[in-house]
Amino acid sequence: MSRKRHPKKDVEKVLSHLESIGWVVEVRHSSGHAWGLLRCPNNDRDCRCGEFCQMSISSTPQNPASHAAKLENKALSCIYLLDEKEKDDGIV
Amino acid sequence: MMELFEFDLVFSLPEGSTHDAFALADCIYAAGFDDAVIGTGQPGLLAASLECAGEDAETVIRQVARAILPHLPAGSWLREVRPDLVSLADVAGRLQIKRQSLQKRPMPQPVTHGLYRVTEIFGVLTQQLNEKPSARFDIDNAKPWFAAGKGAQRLNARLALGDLDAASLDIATA
Repeated sequence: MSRKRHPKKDVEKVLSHLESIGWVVEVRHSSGHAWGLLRCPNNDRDCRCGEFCQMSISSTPQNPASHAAKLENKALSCIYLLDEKEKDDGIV
Repeated sequence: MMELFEFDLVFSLPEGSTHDAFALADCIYAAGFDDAVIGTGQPGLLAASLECAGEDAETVIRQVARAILPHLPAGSWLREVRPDLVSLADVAGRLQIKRQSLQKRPMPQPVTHGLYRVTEIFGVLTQQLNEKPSARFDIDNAKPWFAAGKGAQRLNARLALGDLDAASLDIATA
């Protein structure tokens, strides 16, 4: 991993997992509340209107575990991942 | 009684200018919502996924949107509140079951292609749990999301009818 680690371990764990399934983490180089961005490799506006194909990562969440879980839930609700999971499960 | 609500706010940004994703996210964090997940995947739109507690969903959601709006670029307005119309995939994701498992159950009529009113889905699922407590899904984790549904529907209706001014969220004068 060549990027900077997120200071909160719960968030970093989720970022590493999402990177392993193709999401891209862009770390911010200027200062601010947003630590970085998560980008979906599919980026399709048909996926929940596309707004969450790019998500912000807070640098100082009040509840890091909750913020991490929300990022993960949003990412794993991607229609492409759901389709793949159903194919893997033999449903489609 | 205080209750937790989970909802998404979608704001429309003023046309004719480009918006930096980091700067937009900072606007939401600056309004005090440090745990928000902010979506900037569509140009011209800003989505914020939030969890807040309060007495009733409509009041909580409106208060949160009013707290955020002054921090957004001038000319921004509230476009939509979710959950309102939802797909079975949305609901299955919340219940952590497969979409096909939901399709096997009696469901309300869809409103339009594959989209259902979240309040109607919640009513049907609650009825199924009451009739058969051993039903294989756990609705408790999804309660804050379902609980926001009625407030989201009311606000969307009021925005669509012009009862609320989308830029200030004040009650529109006739």
